[in-house]
This record gives sequence, C-alpha cells and structure tokens, in this order.
Amino acid sequence: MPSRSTRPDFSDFQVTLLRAGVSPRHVRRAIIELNEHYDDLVEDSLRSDTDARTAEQCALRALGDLRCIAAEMCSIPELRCWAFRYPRVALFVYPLLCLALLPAVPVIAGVAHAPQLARWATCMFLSALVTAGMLLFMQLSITLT
Amino acid sequence: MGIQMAQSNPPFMSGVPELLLLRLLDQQEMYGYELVRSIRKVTGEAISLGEGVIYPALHSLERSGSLRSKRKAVSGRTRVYYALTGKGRQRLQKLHGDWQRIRGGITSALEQPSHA
Repeated sequence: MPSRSTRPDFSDFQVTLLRAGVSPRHVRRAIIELNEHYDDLVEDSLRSDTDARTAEQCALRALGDLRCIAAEMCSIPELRCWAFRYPRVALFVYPLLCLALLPAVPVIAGVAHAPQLARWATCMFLSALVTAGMLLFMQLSITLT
Repeated sequence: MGIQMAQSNPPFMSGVPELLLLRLLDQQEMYGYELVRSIRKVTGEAISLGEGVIYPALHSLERSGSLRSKRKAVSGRTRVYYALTGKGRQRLQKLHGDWQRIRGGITSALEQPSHA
C-alpha cells in the first residue's frame, strides 16, 4: 500500500465536482473508487519488480488526469443533484422547505445538544424548586404573623 | 466516456465502452479495476481506456438504472461492486443488436469492390 503523501490530491477534484452540482454521494464514491484504483495500480506495478517511485508515477499516469475525469463527470447531467438540474424549481422549493422546517429547528437543536439541554433543564428545575421554596416560606411567615 | 477515450481511440468508439461494460457485468459483478483489466483482456488490448474515466461511465449507467452498486469491505479495502439489472440486460440486448447490424453493414461495405 503506497504512503499517504504520494497519493493523488483529490481536493481540487472534489471542489470542481461539487461546484458543478454533482451529487455529493457520487463525488464521495468516485474519490473512494479512484483511491482504491490507484492502490491497485501501485500494487500491481510493485509485483512486477518495479521500484516504489516508478510504480506510483505509472499509477498516476494510468489513472489519468483528474481534471479530465472531473470534466467527464460534470458532463453527465444525471449525476447532478436535483437543485442544479432544476434550478427554477429549487428556487421555490428551498424557501418553502426552510419555512416548513423553521418550527422544527428547536427540536433538531435539542436533539443535537441533548446532554447540554438536559443539564440546563435540570438546573432550571432546581432553581425553580428553590425559588418556590423561598416563596412558600415567605408566604407562610406572612400568614403566620 | 468521451475525453480520454477520444484521445486513445477514434471518435467512432462512441457507445462501445457502454456495450463492453454491460457485457462484462452480465457475466459477474465486478469493481472498477477488475473491469478495466477485463476490458483489456477480452479486447486483446485493442481498446485502451484512461482508467479513471470508467467511473463516470459506471455512475451514469447506475443512475440510468442499468447497473446497481454495493460496497464491500474486502481485506481492509472498500470495493464498490457493480452488477447488471434487468433494465441493464435489456439495454445490453439492444446495444448488441445495434452493434451486430452496424458491423454487418460495415463489413458488407468493405467487401464491396471500390467504384473509384
């Protein structure tokens, strides 16, 4: 398995695809597949008594130019997410979706921060109990006097 | 599969990679690297692919419903295996028929004496 440092850099590839509207699912999978393909190419070259550096260079060459692969993926409309394929529909649907989800935001935030929320709720409950106790004490002392 | 394909093979190769991929996946499920090797083997290296370009083609075929994919962990590696669907099988039959027809036509044309 080649070292991480010699691996092709997929950051530009990823940015290009995401900017072009290619679905993140396809982008992630393509990167996994290309990484694995690169490893296979290197392993095959190493098996034929090639030194590591040459094997990595051969693998990069065989894999092809990442810009070409990105261009090829961008040219396939089916791989784009729906908002890029139907931008006018997205223009209406996204704001409506945001409005519909707005009431659910506190719930979602609560689920995401459940431990903090539980601590906060416990503290609030305890302080309410203390306040109620104090008020009761004051009320009783007024009544009794 | 255009860009790299066009660099290594003439432009009339349009549609051939799809036919080859469907044909190979009709026999067994495979992952990308296996497919590239198999294409080389079955075509006697007559068709050379820019290897990375196979993935856009596979993703496109999957989106069109001709293929389905599943990830498998094999000896610490993540392999994405592709398999043919029923729709893919129909597409393969159509492409195969088209190819036979074109091949017959071209062969017939080449066997005709030239009328220069």
